[in-house]
Amino acid sequence: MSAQDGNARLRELFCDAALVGLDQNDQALYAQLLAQTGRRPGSPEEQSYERTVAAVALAGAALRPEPMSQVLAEKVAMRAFEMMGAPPATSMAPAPSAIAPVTQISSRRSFRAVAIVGWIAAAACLLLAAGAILKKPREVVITKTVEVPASVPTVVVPPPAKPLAAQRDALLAQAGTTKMDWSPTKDPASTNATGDVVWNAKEQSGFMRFSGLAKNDPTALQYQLWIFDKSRDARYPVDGGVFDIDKDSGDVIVAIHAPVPVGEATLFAVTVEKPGGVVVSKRERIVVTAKPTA
Amino acid sequence: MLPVLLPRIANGDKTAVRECIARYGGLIWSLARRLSPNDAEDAVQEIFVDLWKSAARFDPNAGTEVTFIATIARRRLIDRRRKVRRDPRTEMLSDALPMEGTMPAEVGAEANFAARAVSQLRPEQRQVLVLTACHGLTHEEVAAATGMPLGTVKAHARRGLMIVRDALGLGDPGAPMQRTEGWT
Repeated sequence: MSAQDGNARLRELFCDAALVGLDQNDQALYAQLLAQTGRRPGSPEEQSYERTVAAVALAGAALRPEPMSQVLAEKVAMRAFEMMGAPPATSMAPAPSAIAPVTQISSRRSFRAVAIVGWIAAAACLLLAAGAILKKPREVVITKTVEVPASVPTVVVPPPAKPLAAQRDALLAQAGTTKMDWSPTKDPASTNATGDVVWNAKEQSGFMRFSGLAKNDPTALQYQLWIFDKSRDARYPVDGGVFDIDKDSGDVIVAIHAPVPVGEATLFAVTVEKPGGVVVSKRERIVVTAKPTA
Repeated sequence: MLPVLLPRIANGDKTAVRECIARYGGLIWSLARRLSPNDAEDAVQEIFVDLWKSAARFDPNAGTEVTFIATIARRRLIDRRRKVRRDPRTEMLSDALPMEGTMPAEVGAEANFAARAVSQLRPEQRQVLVLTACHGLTHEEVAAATGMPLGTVKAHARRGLMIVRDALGLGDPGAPMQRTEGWT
């Protein structure tokens, strides 16, 4: 088998191993090809296939979530505490934004289950109180824990989210943040576009600011950000997600959420794509780009 | 982005254990219900034991916490599934529609991007990938359930997975580099 054929077969085996596992024959071939190509088991390349499968499985499960019972959650916690040592004195209510949150099962009325129901009720009251105080509870992020008396479960209370402009300013004030001006292309959507992108590699966080970029109809097209990372194959820039420009004038600020770590960003580019974005851009409409200064 | 919990768990923080169960319990349960429906409770307990043991291995620079957890969960579920084979259920075969919908923040951006990439696969690639990745079917089971030849199933699964991997930015670092010309 030539080196090229060996690499191609190995990629197939990476896929099979991650998706369905390998039988004995394939395991032997796999070990042989790893050795031939100078790779080791558990390499980042091998792990990337398993990580991809996990992300797909995760997406499938998250779109149709099912709640886990509180009784099972308690069993899991007790097992963990057995492994770690003694259990803590008090339980903690589920985080309010948890996916498919754990729920109680009323048919199992053990002392522990009854106690848990009481805890949840107390937690729910506190959460309702927090919700009444906070005007926009769904837009906030969990950041701090409020200490309460031992007889009441600890409840996570989210603070109000800062406006994007303030978040951008805060990031700009941090060491290591780079600010790059957008360069418009000849695309009609960006004729009058100005603005910048700020990015902090350590924080893996950034913001785009636009002024004069054409308003889009999200049902017809959307803007999509691409981040080029020096450490990655430039044929596949990191997909920075889709966004909309919802007004004709004034600044629009968009937060950047990179799905994977970006090492050294070498270029930010915005394209026009179909609603929902694309996996690989045909680059038919590039509207703005921004590069770090050398 | 939600603060990571596994390093705290690795350091013996029991409060983080509670937070982890609250944050990811529903997700792990949902995975177990799909891949190990007859004994999901046992599977979930095994997964969490694996997770506590593996917490110290989590590297935030190598991926998101939720994907790390899903990797551990899926690995355990596939191991269990191999021991107890089951017939593909009818509902699995229809569960290969484009992955559209709103996901909770806990799921993370990587799964969102994966969902989008899967949605844009060719229908037969998507069906095979969903049946193998989300339901844990083997190539042979997918071939039997869909009527596709085994070789076609394998080709669709591999091609679909490689496309999604590239879309997540995990493509081969050894591949020929093309600079950013054409974008600027």
